[in-house]
Amino acid sequence: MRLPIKIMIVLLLCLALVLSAFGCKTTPVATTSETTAVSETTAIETTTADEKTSDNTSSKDTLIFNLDVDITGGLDATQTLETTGLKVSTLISETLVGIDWETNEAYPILAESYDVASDGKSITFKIREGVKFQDGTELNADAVLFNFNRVTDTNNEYNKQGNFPYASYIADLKMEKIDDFTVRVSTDIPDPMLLWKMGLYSSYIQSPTAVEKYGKDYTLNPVGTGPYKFISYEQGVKAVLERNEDYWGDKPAIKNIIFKINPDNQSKIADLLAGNVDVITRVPADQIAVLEKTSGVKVYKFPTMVNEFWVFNCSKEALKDKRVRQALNYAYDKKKLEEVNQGRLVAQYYPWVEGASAFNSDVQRYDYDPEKAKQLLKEAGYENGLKLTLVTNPDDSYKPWYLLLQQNLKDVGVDLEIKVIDSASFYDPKVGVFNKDTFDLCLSGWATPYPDLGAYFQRWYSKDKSPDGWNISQYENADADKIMEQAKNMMDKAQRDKLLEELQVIIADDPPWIFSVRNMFVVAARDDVEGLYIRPNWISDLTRAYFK
Amino acid sequence: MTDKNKRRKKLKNKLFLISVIFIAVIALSAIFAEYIVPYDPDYVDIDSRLLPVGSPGHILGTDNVGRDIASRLIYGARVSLIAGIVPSILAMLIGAIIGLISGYIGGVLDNIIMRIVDIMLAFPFMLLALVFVTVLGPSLKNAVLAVMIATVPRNIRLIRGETLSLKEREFVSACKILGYSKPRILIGELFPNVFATAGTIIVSDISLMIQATAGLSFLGLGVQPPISDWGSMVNEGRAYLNTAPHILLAPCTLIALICFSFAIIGDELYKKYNPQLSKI
Amino acid sequence: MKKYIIKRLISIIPVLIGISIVVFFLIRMIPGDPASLMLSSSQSSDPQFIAKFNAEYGLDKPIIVQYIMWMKKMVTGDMGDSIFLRDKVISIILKKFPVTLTLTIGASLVVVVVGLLIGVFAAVISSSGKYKAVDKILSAVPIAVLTIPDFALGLFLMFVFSVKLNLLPPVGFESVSGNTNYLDVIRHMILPSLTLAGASSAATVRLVRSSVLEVIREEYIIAANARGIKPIRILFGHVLRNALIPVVTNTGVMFGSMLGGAVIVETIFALPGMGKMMVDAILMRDYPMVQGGALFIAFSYVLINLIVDFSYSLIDPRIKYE
Repeated sequence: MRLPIKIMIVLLLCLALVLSAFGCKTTPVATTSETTAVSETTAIETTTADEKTSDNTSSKDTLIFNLDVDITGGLDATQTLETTGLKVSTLISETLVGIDWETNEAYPILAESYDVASDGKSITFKIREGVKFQDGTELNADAVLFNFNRVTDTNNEYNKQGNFPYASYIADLKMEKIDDFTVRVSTDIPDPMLLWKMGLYSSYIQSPTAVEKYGKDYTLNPVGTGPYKFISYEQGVKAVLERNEDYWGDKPAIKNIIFKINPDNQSKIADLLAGNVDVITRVPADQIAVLEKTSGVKVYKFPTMVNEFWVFNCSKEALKDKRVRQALNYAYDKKKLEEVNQGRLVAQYYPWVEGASAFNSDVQRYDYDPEKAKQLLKEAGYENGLKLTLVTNPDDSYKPWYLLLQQNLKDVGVDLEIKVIDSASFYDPKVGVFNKDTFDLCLSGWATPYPDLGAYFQRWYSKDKSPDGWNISQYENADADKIMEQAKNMMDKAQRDKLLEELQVIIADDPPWIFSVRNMFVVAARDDVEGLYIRPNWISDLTRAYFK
Repeated sequence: MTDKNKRRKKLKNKLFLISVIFIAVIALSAIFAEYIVPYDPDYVDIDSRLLPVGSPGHILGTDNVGRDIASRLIYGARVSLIAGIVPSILAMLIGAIIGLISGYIGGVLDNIIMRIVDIMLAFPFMLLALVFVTVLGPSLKNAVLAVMIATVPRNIRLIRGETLSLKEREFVSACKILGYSKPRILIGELFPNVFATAGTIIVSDISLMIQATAGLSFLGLGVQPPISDWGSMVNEGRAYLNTAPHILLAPCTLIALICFSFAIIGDELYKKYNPQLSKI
Repeated sequence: MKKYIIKRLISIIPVLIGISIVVFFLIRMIPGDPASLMLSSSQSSDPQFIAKFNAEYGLDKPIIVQYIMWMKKMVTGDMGDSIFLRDKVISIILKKFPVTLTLTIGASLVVVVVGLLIGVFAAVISSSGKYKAVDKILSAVPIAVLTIPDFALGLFLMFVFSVKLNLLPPVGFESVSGNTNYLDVIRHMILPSLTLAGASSAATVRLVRSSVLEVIREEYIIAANARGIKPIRILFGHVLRNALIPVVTNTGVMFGSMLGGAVIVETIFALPGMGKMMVDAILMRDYPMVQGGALFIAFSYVLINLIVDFSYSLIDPRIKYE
């Protein structure tokens, strides 16, 4: 059997031709639609510059910002989930007061001024006059009250049109209208956190007319008073914002912002290098050094107040003993973890974060000391070993964390079995870590919503034990409880700070978790982008950004 | 001419021999892993992380937490060889039997089988894998089971399609005229004829099965640490593609070599049991 | 024939009902629920929220009642709203499906063209008995390609064609800024299509090679050869026609399964397709989204298979349908 090989070769050549034609077709497109620079230039920087100028007819006025997680819950700041949507929605709408994370003070935004009552039970806000929502509606006391009721009152008809996951922060407060531009927020018991709470996501003010107009689709069509207005959102693709030319305050420098959604760590870097995106966030650890050496790209590391740690289940027999928990703290080599992560996080030795108010560094500090760990375990009666189960989530970036922990614990005679649960069942009250029977140690973290230790109380207070509260450690310390109860309603700042400092000493001495890391928010940007700022709560503030 | 042929045959046999030896070596080292690996495959040593290939003490380098890649590959063979070979063959066996029967007998039975196959194929595989992993607990066994269940219906369809065309061929008609019974035609005539297609698919499937576990790891549903398998090693290497490519290349190369060997062995066996071929 | 078509179309209905039942109950079998997921991401605990949420989505009712409620809605063409994306399920699917369809068509084109040409070429080389080295290479290379993981191939192509040569955009379905047209889409889809086609084309090359080789050995081909019919006529008139059957089946199955989305390729190239949509929905327990998506994928899959089954009779008229 012989078949014509020559003919086959001709056919193969045809295939090559077709493929090359496929390739050729792209070149003319490239020159017409997007870029003029496909020709000879291999240097990435020059081609990008050209690409950008032809992309936007005028000089560069569009910032393309990569988001690594898709937006869920829409773009209404009171409804959006995760920090991704908040990066976008906090540019569209605003609160009465804001949190200045550099000074740890509140500052007025939509309120012209505010007055905290000396008994700590109420705050009166004087609303800024002449502010209009992006749809022309006037901002006044009615609008503020409308928003408060929408989020907190479950019988409100607009409350039924949405899900408000942050509602519990302000759910037990009351708000009343004093006059057209004055409202008062009040509570039954003195609350030193009251002002902070009015700056949280549940208090972002939306246009009442827009809420009425769009109904349950409002979160896909948000309207606020912010420096940027919402243009469009394509699920899984992008969200487009445009500068609000009628903004009441200082207008930002950049005219358009496109939030491009691409969760893949490798391809977002390719996208940055190819110049199709200006800013990428959460650069993977091992790429930080590579990008720092790349010309045309700058890497920024912003400290955050997002801590992550291995929670102890203090209801388990072995972990009831303080010495065992201390031993495991000594056994974990956090410094090594810092090394592996090359600037993406720093080792965290304290219960609270440096730079926040009432921070106390004069507490029991657990540096790596396997000998001390062994000795403490021996004292507690576990010199012959101990078996523990660790529950963690499937995110690959945590792998070095628990592999190191497993090795470290093995070195001091503790056998650690690792169990991975998918993220959606992680905090499930039945199979997840909210059920205290499922784990000995588990991964957890806390992004403090405001720079005050009060935000941590629910992780340590014995009456907030899971499944009803966030105390998944099942932590119980009478002294700590007493301090938290006192500090909860204490209005005298100096006295309260002193209590909080004392609390940190107790927590460090009787640790509810293995203190591990504090995240850094690592951003890589094209070098013509300046003024990038990421707040310590993981939310970016792009109003200060500009092009060089 | 005959000289040349002989030489060629020798070469073929040599390749066949090399393949058999290679697979045997891998299998044996997997069985006796404890005695030959230089390091504990799970030993984390941050100080010697990301060592390149050929570093002293670490022939194939180390991964991102400093585990020895060579040791992990050898231990991983235990899991991955079984995860690759067993489900590929099983899935094909089940698929071939059902596909042959369905295609040859036809009618109502064929219709029912194909509808069930349709349901299985149209079913989102990810959902199945997630159910397996979350309800039965995440383990390699469950991951492989999920992958196998997802492959069987495809094999049924492929074999059935081929049977449909085979049964119209002259030799089958001839058998019918000669009065052969249905089972005899099925087993004696049709089965050997789908063997070639089946063999090709099994060989491609072995690497796909190993990689399906990598795919599950990609989605966070893969094998649980500290067990090492080639699939999750491939997935771990993904993040280091441009900084430390050996983490990815080492398991990929090994998977490729294993598949080559299986392909060569398969070809040779096929020729041995299909003497017609040598006539041409 | 017409009767057969109608019969097959009707047979889609039980398949869809079967899938709807299995999906509905399976997704609820997985632990974890959307309300607690929402609260954990907002770091709050709020039993009131969970109660209100479950009432709103009917999740507080018995599971059978939930299924009947869902089916009732489905019959009227309402797939419900996605819990996390907040949009109508059907409108989300209709935005994602074109992306997946484009990717699938692109990849299938590559698979069929590459698979057939190289496969037949390899078979011809092999049967000729000459060019042993070429034969070896042609049977070895596909195995090598098969073992390259999708993401490695994709990232490699991306770094070469987008970062180094700056010829093609690295990610996305179309440009996020400026004008988008179909040429823009084609440029974006070249790399993902090649990546998705990679392993499948290699498998198809092997499949074509082996089935052509097998047909060549058939008596009637040998007879035709002996009768002096031109080899090229034998190749295209007889060999290819018979060798096509497994190829068509395989391509059909592949096309159908690609319509369900290619999660890894979609993730790497940031394509808003069906695969990513389904995986995200499952991982977040977005029940309405999973149910609607699964039914849609199943429907398109069954439809494709119908077409594949018919194409058998076009290629090989001896295959009859009752």
